[in-house]
Amino acid sequence: MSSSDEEQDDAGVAAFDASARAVGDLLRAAAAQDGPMPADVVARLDAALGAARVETRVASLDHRRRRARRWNRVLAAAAGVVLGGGGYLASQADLGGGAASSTSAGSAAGAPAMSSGGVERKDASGPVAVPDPPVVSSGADYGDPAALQAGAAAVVAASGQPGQPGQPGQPGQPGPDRTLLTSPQDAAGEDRGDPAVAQSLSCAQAAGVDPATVLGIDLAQWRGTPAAVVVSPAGPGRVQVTVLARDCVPGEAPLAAQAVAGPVP
Amino acid sequence: MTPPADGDARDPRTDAELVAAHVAGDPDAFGEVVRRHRDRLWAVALRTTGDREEAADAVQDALVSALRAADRFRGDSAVTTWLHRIVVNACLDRARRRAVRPTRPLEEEVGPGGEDSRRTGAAPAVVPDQTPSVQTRLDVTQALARLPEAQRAALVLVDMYDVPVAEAAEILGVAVGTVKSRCSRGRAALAEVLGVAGNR
Repeated sequence: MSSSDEEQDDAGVAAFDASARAVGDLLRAAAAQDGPMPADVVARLDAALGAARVETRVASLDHRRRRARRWNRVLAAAAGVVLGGGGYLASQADLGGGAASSTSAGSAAGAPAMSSGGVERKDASGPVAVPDPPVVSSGADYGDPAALQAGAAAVVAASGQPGQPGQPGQPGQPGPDRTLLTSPQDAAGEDRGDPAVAQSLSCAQAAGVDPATVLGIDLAQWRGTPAAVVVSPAGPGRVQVTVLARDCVPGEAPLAAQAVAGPVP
Repeated sequence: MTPPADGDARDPRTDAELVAAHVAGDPDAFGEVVRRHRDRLWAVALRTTGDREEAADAVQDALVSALRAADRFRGDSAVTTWLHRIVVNACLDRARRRAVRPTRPLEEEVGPGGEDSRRTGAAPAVVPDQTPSVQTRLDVTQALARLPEAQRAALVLVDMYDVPVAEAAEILGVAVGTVKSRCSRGRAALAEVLGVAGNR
């Protein structure tokens, strides 16, 4: 290769580099003129992310619910073993005769009520370990403040009528099958033992609700998600409605929370 | 419970901390990550697709996908790299789909490149403007639209937005040398299209 060819090659490389730099400069100049994401795209994006967040949350809740069911089965099996052992001991005591037999039998009979739901209940022989608000199961699917207000009113009304079913025909009452399951005076209700009730109270407490003041709980739904609607006083003529996922974790944000006008007994 | 005030105060957490918080259930964390990076992601998507609607769809799909898959983010790369990778991949997927089924709005002019300009979708319609900067932007946009999408994506990242070559390689999922060669060929093609002096 002659020196003239080499000079031509060098000139070609230099020209190529110069054009590449010029293109780079043009590209950077163009990029500098780019504006922010337009407002309509931001709004659209926010809406899509909001919807995806809800879907993700629902999927996560389903997963946790399945895990909770498995855990409940394990607990139930463990409780069965404990009760079986207790029964065996009681029968052994019976065989031994004496005054202890009736006491042991009474304890064995009382045991299921204490352990079936994982919540210590009020009974003749023991104190209340956790608050016992009335629990209703409306099955209503709440989705807006008006429905919540009506639901809260129904829960408060139910708490004033212990042991009685709610009034399905009342105006504004969202659930046609609202049934009072438990009340402070009704220790035999089944849903008081529902772990969801205790869990909801724990979550409500973490959200700032004093469990001792809770007026009632409605086992219902919030926009399709199984939820517990916890109603508590919020000043004169108002009640605080805190909607929690039934399998919430204390510290988790409520699905909804608002103060609404309502009668405080 | 009162929702937190949506003020202008910037969240002090890092991107990685925000993603972790999102995975742990913080409902606002991912939104903060998006707020921090959306303008840059938007610009990259717009330049890569060359079409506003395609860019909006790509960014939306990518960020929704990132939100759902955040639990799989291991922190091996920066959050921005991860987000750019998802966005660029969404853009390239769309470009490939359009290449299979090219569409062209009836009103739109076909540039001098003819078929070539439709290869990765229609180039934006051009309205001549006397302002030099606007003209430059349009020229560059048109010229970029003529490049194969792989070259365009490399140039957009490296030359337009100063993403380091190594990071661009990570975003594009190719070797560093591949990014360099794509950039080099892309610059040569652009120089020719733009009539940049010094081109041999």
